[in-house]
Amino acid sequence: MYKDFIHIFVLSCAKATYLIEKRLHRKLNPIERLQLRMHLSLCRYCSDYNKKAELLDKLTRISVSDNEKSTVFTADEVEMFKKRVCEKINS
Amino acid sequence: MLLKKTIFVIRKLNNMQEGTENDFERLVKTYSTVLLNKAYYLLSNKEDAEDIVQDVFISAYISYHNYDGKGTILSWLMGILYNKVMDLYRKRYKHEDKMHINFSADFDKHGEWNHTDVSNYWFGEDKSEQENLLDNIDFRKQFYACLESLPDRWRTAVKLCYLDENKAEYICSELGISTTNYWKLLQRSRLQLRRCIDAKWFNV
Repeated sequence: MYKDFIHIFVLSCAKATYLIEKRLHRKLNPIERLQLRMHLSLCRYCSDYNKKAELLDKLTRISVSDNEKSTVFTADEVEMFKKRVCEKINS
Repeated sequence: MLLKKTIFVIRKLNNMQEGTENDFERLVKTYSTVLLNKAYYLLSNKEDAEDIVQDVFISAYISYHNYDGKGTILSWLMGILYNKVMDLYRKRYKHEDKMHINFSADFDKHGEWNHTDVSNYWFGEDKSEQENLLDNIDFRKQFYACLESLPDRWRTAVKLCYLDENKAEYICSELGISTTNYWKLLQRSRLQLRRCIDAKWFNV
């Protein structure tokens, strides 16, 4: 009961982590910004999570450029693929 | 536009008569590798990736006249690829329940953390500590393993977001989910990645 009451004023951690996520992709509106800042100043767990979320965000960005150097498909597989597509189109 | 199309058709006919390598084959030769890699990144499955890139080339072949010459050919082909991936995604999950994202692994019914392990040590205030982690190849490998261990439906949605972040609203409408649910899905995926890294790398 007490917890439900307090969440009217202060975000729950579930909501705060939602805003943490949104902030990684979008600008928050002023109310959301204030709510999140207030929550982070009070909650150690969420502020620890926030730092980890930022690291995970950076890693995901790196994964995009790492993928460009990837060699999942061997040269042979790519050649086979090219041949197949060209045959398909010419038929 | 008509002129362009006519020129293209004439050029194509010429090529065919001469029996030389035509425009299309050159397209396939030049862009297969990069498209296959990207498709594999999004779908995490070689067969799916080959099928979809083949589809991309066929679409490109049919609609070559739609290429407006503004962007590079690669970005045009990538655009087709992303759209095909989103089509596939929508079809694949059409019959599943509406997006229901459950947070009970991390939060109790009041929305508070179930476990305090979220505060386990990863890095300190010193910036270099964080950078060392980012540069650590083994750590990155572990992160990729965690990323791949997400359910297919989440993983593809996460990766689409990172490929074209400014188009989140467009991606949502193509995938048939609301923007709020999309952020929730990303939130849920990140919570899981956090737990995975804690368990697999920091051995909590």
